[in-house]
Amino acid sequence: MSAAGDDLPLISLRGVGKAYPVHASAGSQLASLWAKLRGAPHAASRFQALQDISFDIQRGASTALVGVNGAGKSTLLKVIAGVAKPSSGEIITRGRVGALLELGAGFHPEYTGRENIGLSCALMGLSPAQTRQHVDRIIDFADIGSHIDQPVKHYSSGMVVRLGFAVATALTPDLLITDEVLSVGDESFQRKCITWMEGYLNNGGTMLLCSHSMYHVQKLCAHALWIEGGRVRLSGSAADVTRQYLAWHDERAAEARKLQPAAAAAGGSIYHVRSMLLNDMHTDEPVVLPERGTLVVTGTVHSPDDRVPQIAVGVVKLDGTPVAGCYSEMDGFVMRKLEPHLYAYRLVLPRLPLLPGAYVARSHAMDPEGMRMFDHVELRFDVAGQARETGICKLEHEWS
Amino acid sequence: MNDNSSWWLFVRFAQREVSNRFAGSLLGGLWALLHPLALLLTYNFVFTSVMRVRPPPDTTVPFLVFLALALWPWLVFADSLSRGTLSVVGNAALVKKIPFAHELVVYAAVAASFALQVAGFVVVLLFVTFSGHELHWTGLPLVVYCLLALACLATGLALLLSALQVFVRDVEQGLAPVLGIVFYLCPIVYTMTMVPDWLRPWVWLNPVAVLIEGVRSALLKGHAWPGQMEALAGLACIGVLVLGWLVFRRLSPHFEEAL
Repeated sequence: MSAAGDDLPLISLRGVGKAYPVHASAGSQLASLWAKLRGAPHAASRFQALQDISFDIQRGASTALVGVNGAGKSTLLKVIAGVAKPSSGEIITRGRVGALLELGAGFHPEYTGRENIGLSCALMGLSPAQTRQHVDRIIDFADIGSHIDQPVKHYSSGMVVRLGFAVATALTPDLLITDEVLSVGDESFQRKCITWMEGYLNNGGTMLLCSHSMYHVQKLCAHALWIEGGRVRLSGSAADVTRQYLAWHDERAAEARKLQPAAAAAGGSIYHVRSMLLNDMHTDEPVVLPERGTLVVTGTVHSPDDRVPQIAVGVVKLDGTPVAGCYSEMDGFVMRKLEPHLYAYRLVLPRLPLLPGAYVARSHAMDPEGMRMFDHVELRFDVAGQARETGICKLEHEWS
Repeated sequence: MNDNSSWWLFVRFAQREVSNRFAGSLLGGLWALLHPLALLLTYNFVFTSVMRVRPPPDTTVPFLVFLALALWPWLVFADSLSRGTLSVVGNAALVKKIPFAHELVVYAAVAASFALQVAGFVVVLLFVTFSGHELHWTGLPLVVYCLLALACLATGLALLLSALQVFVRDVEQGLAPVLGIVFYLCPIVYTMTMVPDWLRPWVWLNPVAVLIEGVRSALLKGHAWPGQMEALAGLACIGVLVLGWLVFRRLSPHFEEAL
């Protein structure tokens, strides 16, 4: 890896956009071809896949792209790798760029794994001497045994990606661009890939990767870009971007499920939650807790027959994943009578072991037997913090 | 990517192109020879046995030999062109996923095809010689010149058509019938002397006709060096090559959009 121009970014994007023509008729197809031949812009209907993207990648500052499917991540990688040409803006590259957009993309099914290594290495720009030098290590890394001398068409998809990644390990570019390659293969192979990538990074390599795994993003990259609708929505440290992206993602999932409206009217013939507060805050904004903060859920329940109802309080993630549930009936708690038909409860959840993110507390009214669950009311709360562990909750742990 | 690795990639592509041709077939490389031989025998059956075409007046060799000397140069051209035209679309998976100089697959397809057909031509020439028919080996420089010019033309057209084929898939559909027509517009099953005087200048406008006739007259009459016609045809071929290259360069960054 060359040391020249260390202070300049490896790659600079300035106002990069990419539009794909959408052809309704043969006529517009020909018109667009003619425009390309003349080198003129063509005003056909276009799908704007990327718009006004600008960022730099400094040497050593590995960067991840996050975003939902169809946000434009893969298109952006293609444009940076040089497979697709940007329709606007410019990309300045300094240093060698290696692209791994699809594992095993250059493989021909009729040829053996060993034969395919030859063309793949040539496609990556390796000379015959370099290829010979790397071939044993590639075969060793792929670890697919005697299959290496079988035609690739007889390979399982797992073996194809193993060999595909193995070929890529022969590369040591200044910037390695990979698209979702870590989501393939079995656990042990993924670990092997990660180990190789960490070695590559430790030796001064820089990566631009695209992944749906926030774990990989945080583990391998210092920076992240959140791509949404073909634009950069957020750019910053990997921890920050992934947290905000996940919160947004959860919220979107929650909206998709259409939150139940709170049962509103007083009275009525069924048990229902009349009111609910978190930490006694009368606000429409989500309550924000620190890590290991205390959550107090209070509320009132209407009882149509004035018998003492039961109550269940649950915590779920914003996307609906259940976290925990507490039942008055199991704990032997009896609700306090405030007035005829109205009972009150108060639940304290101290030192919440939840990881930073968005959550929802739900109160479910239940009949006095604790058998049936009626309408519920829910309120959102957020846990703020810098914790980088993954999952939902923080387990007490110690290493030794 | 430097020049060296481009060259190496070209060699790899060309090797693969040759082995792709025969991958999985039992007779392998023999097919490169069997197919034109069958074609040759069919034409011979039609023209000498059925239609009883007399050997062309200004030649001393049998019709079969006369035909073979022009049929192979035609196959060199037509096969290279059709393989080259399909090369970019045929390698769509690579073009979409891996950055490399796309023209290499066209060069490789043309070169592989050219090499196979020329090898077949050499076998045929040896066969003709050993079966007792005198060929003028002094004409070899002109033969080489004409074949190289045909290679230029095929490469230029293949660059042009393979790039257009990415955007307009009708190119492939149109190419086969056009090649079928051009075959009969070239002096392959006839000689230029048989063409009516008023029509002849029009036939000569076709560089393929000039170059094929060049190969045949070199081997039958011993013309060693390109004449005015062959020189002009050669220039036309280079012109087409440049045009094809320019169009390809213009369109190749957009391939990914259409594949």
